Amino acid sequence: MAGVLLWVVSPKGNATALLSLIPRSVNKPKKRSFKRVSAISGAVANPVRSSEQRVYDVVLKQAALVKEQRGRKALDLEKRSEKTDGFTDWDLLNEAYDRCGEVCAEYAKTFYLGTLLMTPERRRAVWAIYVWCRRTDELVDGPNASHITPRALDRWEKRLDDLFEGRPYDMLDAALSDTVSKYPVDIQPFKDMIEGMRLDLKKSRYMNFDELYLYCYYVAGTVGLMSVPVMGIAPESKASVESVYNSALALGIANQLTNILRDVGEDARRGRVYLPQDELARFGLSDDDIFRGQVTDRWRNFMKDQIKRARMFFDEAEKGVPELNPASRWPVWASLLLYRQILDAIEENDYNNFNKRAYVGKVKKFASLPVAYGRALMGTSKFI
Amino acid sequence: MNLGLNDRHLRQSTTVGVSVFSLLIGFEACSGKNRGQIQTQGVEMKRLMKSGTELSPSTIVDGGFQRCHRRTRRFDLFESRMVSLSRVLAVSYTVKPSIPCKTCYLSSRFVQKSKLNSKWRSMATEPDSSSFAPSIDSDYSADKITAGFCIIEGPETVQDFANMELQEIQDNIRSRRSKIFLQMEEVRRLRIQQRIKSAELGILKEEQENELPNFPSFIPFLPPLTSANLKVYYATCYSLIAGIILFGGLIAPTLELKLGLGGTSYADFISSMHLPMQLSEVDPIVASFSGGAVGVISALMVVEINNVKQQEHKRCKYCLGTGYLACARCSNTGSLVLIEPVSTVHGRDLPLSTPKTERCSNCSGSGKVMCPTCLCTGMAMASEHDPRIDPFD
Repeated sequence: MAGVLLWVVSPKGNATALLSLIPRSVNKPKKRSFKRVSAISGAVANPVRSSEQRVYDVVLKQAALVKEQRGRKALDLEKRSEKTDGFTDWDLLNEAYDRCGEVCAEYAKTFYLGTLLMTPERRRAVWAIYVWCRRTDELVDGPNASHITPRALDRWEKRLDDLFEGRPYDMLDAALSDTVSKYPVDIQPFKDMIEGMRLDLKKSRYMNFDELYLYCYYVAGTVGLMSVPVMGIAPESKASVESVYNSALALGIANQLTNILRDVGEDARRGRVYLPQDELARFGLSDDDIFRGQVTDRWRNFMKDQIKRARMFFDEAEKGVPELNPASRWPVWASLLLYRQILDAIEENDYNNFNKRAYVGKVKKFASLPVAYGRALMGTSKFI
Repeated sequence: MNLGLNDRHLRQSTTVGVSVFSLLIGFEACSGKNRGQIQTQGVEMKRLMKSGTELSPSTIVDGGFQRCHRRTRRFDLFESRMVSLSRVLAVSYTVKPSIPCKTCYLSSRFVQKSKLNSKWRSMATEPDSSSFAPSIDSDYSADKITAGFCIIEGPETVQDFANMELQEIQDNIRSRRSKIFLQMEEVRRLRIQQRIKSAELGILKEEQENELPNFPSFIPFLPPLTSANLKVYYATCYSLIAGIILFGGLIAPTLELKLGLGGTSYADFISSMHLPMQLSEVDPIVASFSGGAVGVISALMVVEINNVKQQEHKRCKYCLGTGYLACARCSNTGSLVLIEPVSTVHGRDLPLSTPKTERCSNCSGSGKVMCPTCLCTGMAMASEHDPRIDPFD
């Protein structure tokens, strides 16, 4: 099911240029809801559909669903409220949302601060999505991951289906169920994320960027797609819905790539390499070089290439933020700018991501806020 | 007058009671003997383990049924079953390492071991031949159940064990608990061997200690504690105390050090700070006692606050350490209200009956469900907190 829904964004040629960035951070999926309109369209038909194409198909489908849902939304909400009225206790729901907020604050401090820039309703919705994503991630990557079987993931998916139908299992599921009833969020990105977890149980190496792109889509691109309905597209936006989703996807991918690049050393210590093997080979590097953890000139060149690709994804994402709902632009811009700065920090560390953690200081973080605010004020511009 | 017991009733009830009581004593005696048997079996097992014999299923089986067969009538049936089981287990033990999927390994191992132990235990604890049949059945159903076991709960899963009889459930619980016990013992012994072998190979000690986290210091800004660090901590602490005593007692009076601003005396200092003059007349002993007490109390407070933060850190954040999340289906109440549509077309002036409730199937009436992140342990990092985890400490 997940396989079918992957649509590739760009043709292979463009993709390789764009995809030179890629660290993987399995344990830190991007929970940022950035919506960027990325116009990576104009795909050249490829005989073998690459990951980018398949992911783009998903994006198109999401956009189509949104248009469809706009018509059906009123009806659905009524139906859902009938079903859930007996199931939800409002105090419990509020408590559930608060708990989601606490979890978010605990595990993703900067992201939490970013959510404080949103409207209260959106904030709660984003927290609920974050907590579900994080719980799913912890199933396979958390401290108790050794007890997880593929069957457990199947059950988790069944729970997801149930909560989308208004039958949540526990209180945190109830928060997401409520969110899903209020905003036109589609189930497919969630299912794709579970599929990504299944993949992660099996894989620890990625042969080429195509595979890595798929992985990044599963763990981070899906988050972008999940959050577009929550953030909302500006009514006056002339951009197509697909392009907004594309940008969101690009932002998710960019975040994941940044994460991967930042955590090369940490992942290597766990025996995982989230860099494409063929690109490593092209620069004369191998897994052993990564495990050894020494910064050589070859490594620097490789990293430069990867960072360039991540920046290209960020640029694609930047095109879409102005198309969002005005209230949502500031937090999205803020997180985009902050995450971009991590790439700068990696460069400042002389590309030593083995031992040093690329860290953006508090001062810099705070300084980005007014810049983000300024950019958020600029609304939707002419869009090609 | 209906309640009055007449003589006949009294005699009857007494007789019944006595007979029941004697039956119970009889069972007790049997089970007592059984318990002794289990104990001897346990001792035997321990002996086996001490001698370093690998805890192979056939050993257990053989040891087990030699004791048991005297009590069972259907000895042949069980013997054949046990032997075949042990063969299966032996095969499965050899096959297991080749299974690439770690999770398959875990679940199949679970199945096999439970088969063995539950059979053994049920044999040992139920001398009655009449209960043999159910125990076989319970094993088979237990196998089916464990084969389908999954750590994540869903709406239907709490019913996994619902089809078992009470006695079966008790047997299963007993067999699983004994299995846990035995495996913890195995872990302890394996860790002994691990330590010995790594010491032989000269592997550094710190590599082995990554299972248990570093002991964080309760005082903020200080480096984490380990047993080696502790000596340094002691030394630093004592030298600081000695230094301060020396300073206050000897050096300061010798140098006529006045710690007021610009070398002022205590009285001048007080008046320059515009504090009431009575402070300058405080007895030195009282002053030092108060200062010391304040210092100690605030230090203890800092330690306590840090301790709370550390403990909170170890808590699972999703369930806040409780291990459970509120069930969404019944909204934490445990019961579902059955809503039946009431037609008022033909209704007369009858009052509505109170709605019926039924037990919530999600949480089986408890109102809460398992937290899938900490797996009901309530801790962020679930590990076995057991002295058996590190025998060398």
